[in-house]
Amino acid sequence: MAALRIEPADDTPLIILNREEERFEISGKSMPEDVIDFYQPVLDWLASYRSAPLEKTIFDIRLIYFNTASSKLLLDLLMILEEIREQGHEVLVRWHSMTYDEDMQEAGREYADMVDLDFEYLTYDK
Amino acid sequence: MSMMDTVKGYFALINEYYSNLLEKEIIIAYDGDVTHQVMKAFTSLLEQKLISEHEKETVIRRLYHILVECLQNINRHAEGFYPKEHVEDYPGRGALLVSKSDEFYRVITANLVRTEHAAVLKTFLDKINPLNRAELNEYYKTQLMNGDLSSKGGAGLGFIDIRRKTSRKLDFHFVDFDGEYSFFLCNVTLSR
Repeated sequence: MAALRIEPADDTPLIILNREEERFEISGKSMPEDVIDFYQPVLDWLASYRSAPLEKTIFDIRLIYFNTASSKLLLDLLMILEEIREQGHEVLVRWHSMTYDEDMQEAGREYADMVDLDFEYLTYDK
Repeated sequence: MSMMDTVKGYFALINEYYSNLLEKEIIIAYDGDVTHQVMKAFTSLLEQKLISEHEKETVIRRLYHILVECLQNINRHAEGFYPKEHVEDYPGRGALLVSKSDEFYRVITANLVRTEHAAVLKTFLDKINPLNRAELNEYYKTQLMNGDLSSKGGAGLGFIDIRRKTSRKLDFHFVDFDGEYSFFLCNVTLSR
């Protein structure tokens, strides 16, 4: 399937969804003017991917900021990954946050409580 | 009134406004349309200023988040200055004041809302104010999973998160404007 790549802007994250290269990533800032407009292609892509996923999907979430409007769409994204897992495929969410950013680490743990997916927490410095 | 009188009147107003403030350091004072561009400009300005002042990174992130959520509330839910001419796509108008003291930052917003919406908002804010940390976390998750979220945002996630991030009760007031509309005043304080 064709890869989806959305270049980052000052209010939207970088999106890489590439089955061939086994790269699934969302990184940067997420506070789009219209969250649903922005995330619809991402959710649509993942919904198609769900019908022919890799044996193991590693999804990297490396957000430095997301607003509450984006938080709902991130949950929608994770719920598609959860469905892929329920179909019997392996899914790992790698939740990256800056070392000092406890709020972002807590946000990751909060998502892990809401969906049945394996999370790995990674921290990085600037 | 001559133009010079208007200008003098305006400066007198600003002078009074500043003198009445408890906090002397004003970072942003604004009254106008709150578009997405305005939101991006102010949040970026605030972030740069706090970085240059070597503020703690956690405080910067939290204040940034509070400002985003407060401005998006105005952008999506406030009425325009001429509320009777309100149209769906018109950006909300409101006033914003971001100030700083030795102990805390303060974000104050003021905007018009329809009085019927004010009642709904007040019920919601009164509901989240008494909740403790664990209850807030639970409520946030419930609203995230089941809340009614449209392209305008919603489900009250912004207010719940501000309440969590500041660990303080939300300080808000409603003042009647003309019966049909009310002023919504919100004062968010973040400890440094």
